[in-house]
Amino acid sequence: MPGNKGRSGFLAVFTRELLRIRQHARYPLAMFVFPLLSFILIWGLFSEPYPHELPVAVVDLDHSKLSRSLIRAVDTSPVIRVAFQAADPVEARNLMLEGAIYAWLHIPQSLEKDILEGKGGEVIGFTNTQMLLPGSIVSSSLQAVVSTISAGLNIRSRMQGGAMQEKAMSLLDPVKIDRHVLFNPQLNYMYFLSAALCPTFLQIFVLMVTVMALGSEFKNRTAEQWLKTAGGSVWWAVTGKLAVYFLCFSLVGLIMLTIILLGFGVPLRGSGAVLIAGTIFLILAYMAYGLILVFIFPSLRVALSASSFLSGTAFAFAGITFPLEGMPVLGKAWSSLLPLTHYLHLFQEQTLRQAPISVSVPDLLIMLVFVGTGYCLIPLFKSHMTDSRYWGKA
Amino acid sequence: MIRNLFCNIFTELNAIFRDPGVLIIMVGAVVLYSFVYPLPYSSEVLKQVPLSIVDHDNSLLSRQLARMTDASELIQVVSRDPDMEQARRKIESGKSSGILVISEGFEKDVLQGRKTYVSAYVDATYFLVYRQAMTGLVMTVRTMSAGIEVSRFKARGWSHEKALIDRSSLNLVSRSLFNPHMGYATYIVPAVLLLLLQQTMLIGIGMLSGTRREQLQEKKAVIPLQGGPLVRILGRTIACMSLYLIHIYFFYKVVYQIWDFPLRTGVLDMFVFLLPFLLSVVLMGQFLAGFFKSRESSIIMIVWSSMVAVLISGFSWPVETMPHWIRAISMLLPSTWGISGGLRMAQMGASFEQVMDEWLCMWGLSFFYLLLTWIWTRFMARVSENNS
Repeated sequence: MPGNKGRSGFLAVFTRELLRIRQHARYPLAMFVFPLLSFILIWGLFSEPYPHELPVAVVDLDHSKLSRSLIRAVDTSPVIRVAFQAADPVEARNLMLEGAIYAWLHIPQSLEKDILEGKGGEVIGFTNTQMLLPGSIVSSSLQAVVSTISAGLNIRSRMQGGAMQEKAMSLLDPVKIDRHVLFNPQLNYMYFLSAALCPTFLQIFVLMVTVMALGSEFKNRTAEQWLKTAGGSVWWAVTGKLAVYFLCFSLVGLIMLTIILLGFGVPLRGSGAVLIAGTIFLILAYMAYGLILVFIFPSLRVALSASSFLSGTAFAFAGITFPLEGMPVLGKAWSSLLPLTHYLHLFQEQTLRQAPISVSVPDLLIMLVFVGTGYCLIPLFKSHMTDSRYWGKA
Repeated sequence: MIRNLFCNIFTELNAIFRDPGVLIIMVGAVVLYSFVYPLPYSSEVLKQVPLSIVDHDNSLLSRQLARMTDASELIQVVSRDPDMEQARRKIESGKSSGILVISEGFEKDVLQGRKTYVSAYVDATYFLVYRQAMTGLVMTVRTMSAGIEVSRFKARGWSHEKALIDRSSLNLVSRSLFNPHMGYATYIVPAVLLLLLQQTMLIGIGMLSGTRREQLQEKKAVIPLQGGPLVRILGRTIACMSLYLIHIYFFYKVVYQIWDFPLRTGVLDMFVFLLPFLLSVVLMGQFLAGFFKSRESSIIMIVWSSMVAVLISGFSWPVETMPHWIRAISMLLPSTWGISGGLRMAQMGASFEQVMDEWLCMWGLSFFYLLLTWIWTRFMARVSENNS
C-alpha cells in the first residue's frame, strides 16, 4: 500500500505475524496445546510422588515363624509388595528376567534356629540395578523392613542378657554420625524432578517455534515481503515478528510457574520476581538461539535438526539427573552453553535453597549474554532477507 | 506385484540417500546422538564430591578422621574452615556440597570411653550428590568407630562378635544384579539408544512423506510409486528397516564396545527381537506422516514426543506407579515394549521366552498401525479422487 505509513513498521509486522499464526495450525499447537499437555502429563505421571506396591519375590528356605513374619513385614511396607513366593533362587531370577519383580529376598535355611542360638543371621536382597531408580527404592525399603524386624529381636535378646551385656552394648558405636539434611529435609526429589521437566519441555517449543517462524520466511520466499512490511527496517522485522512469540511464551511460562508452585507444591523460599525474570530470560535466550541457528543454517530443516539436537539433549546435560561435577570437561562446556542449565540452577536457588538474590545474578547475566548475542545478529539478517540465494531452501 | 515391490523399495532407498535432510536424521543423528548422549554420564558413578571440614577439636584423632574422609573415593576435602559460618557460605556459593563438623572434646570423649558424635551437613538439592557424600561420610565414620570398638573390647577381653550379634542379630546383605556398580550410563543409555531408533525413524519418514507431498504439489518430477496402497506401504517399510538393521548392528557391536556396556546376548537374538520393533515403528511413522502438512512439522512433534516416550516407557519411573491413562498411552508406543524387553535381553541376558510378551505386543502394534496406515492411505486416495 504505497504512501500508507501506518501500514509498515513494528506493528505491521506484529499484525502480519498474528495472521500467519492463524493460518497455520502448527503454531498454536506448538505454543499452547503441546506445552500445556506436557505439563498435564508430568502432573499426572508424578501425581504419586513416591512409588508404591512395587513387586518383589521371596525365596523362603527357612519356613519358620521368623521367616513368615519377615515376609509379612515386607508385604505391609507401602513401597513394596510380595508378588511371588519362589521355590528357589533360579525361579526368582527367572521372574526378574521376565520383568515381573524388581528384587527378591533370599531367606536361608535355619535362619530362625541360628538367631535363637545367638549366632545371628543374614538375609540377602538381590536387586535389579539395571532399573537403577526403582531398584534403589526397593533396596532401601527392604533394608528398612529388615532393620525393624532386627530391632524387635534385639530388644528380646537384650532383656534376656542381663547387666554384663548392657555394659558391652555401651562400648559399641563410640563415634556416631549426626545427619543434617540441608535445603531439602524431606529428601523429596520427585517434586523437584517433575518441576525441572516443565522448563525442559518449554525450551523445546520456544526454540523450535522461533526457528520455524524465522526459517519458513526464507523457505517460502516471503522474506522480502516481510522486510517490506517492516518498512525496510530489519530491526522492526525481527522484533515485531518475535514479539508475538515472546508474548505467547511468556504467558505459557507464567502458567508453568503457577502449575509448579501451586500444583506440584514446590516451595518458593527465594524471590518470586527473580524466578519470573529468569523464566522470561530463558524464553528470550532460546529465541536468541533460534536467531543464531537460522542465521548459520539457511536451510530450514537443517536449522530444525540442529535445534532438535540442542533442545532434545538439554535435559541430560542440565545437571539434574547427573550433576555437573561428575561430567567430563566436554560435557561441562556444552552444559554451560545451554540456557536451561543456568535457568534450572537459578530455579533451585530461588525455590529450594532460599538463596539471596545475588547468588542468581550470574545466572541471569549469562542468559542475558545469550540474548545479547542474538540481538547483535539482527542487522546481519538484512542481507539474508534481500539475497534470493538464501531463499527456498527446504 | 513382486516387481512393483522391488521398484518401490529402490525408489524409497533412493529418496533416503538423495535427500541430505533425511540422511542427517536417519544416519547422521543416529551416529552423533549415540556418542553425545552418553557423554554427561560417561564417568558412570559420581565420585569426589567436594566437602569442607570444620575441626574444633584439632587433635590427633580429629585430624585422622579428616584424613580418612579425604581418602574416601566418594569425597574430596576441598577446604578446612575455622567455623560453620564460612563453611556454610561455601555451600551457598556452590564451592562445596557438605560439611563435616568435629566438635571440641571429640578425642577426649573417645579416650574416656564415652559415646560421641560428629555432625554431617549435606546439601540435598541434588539426589546423587547427597547420596554419595552422605554414604562416604557414614562409611568413613563407621570405619573409624569400628576400629575404636575393637580395641575397647580387646582391652577388656570381651567378645566383640557376640556384642555385634546382640546389637543387630538379623542383617540384610544387598546384592546388585546386572549393573553391579550402579552405573548411570549403563542405566540410561541402552534405553535411550532404542528410543533414538524410534524417534529418528519417525522424523525420517515424516520428512520423506512431506517431501513427496511438496514435490507433487509443486508438480516436480518424482519417481512414481507402483501398485496399490499395500505394496507402497511395504516398499517403504522394507527400505527403512534394512537401513535400521545396520544401526542395530552398529549399536551393539560398536557403541556398546566403546562405552563398555555389558551385552549378555547375541546380536542375532537382538535382531530377531527388534524386528517387530522396527516394523511397528515404520508403520506408526507412515500413519503419523499422514498428519504432517510440511516436512518440518514432524520434527517438533517428535522431539517433544521423545521426552514423553522416555518418561512413560517405564525405565525411569516404574509402570506400577503410573496413572492408568498414561500407562494406556505408553502401551501404544513401540518404544515401551522395545525398551522393556530389549534391556532385559541385552543387559540382563533374558532368554527369548522371557521377552515373548513384549515381542508379541510389538507384532500386535505392527498389525494395528498397518491397519491404520492402510485405512488412512485409502481414505486419502478417495479424498484426492473426489477433489480432482
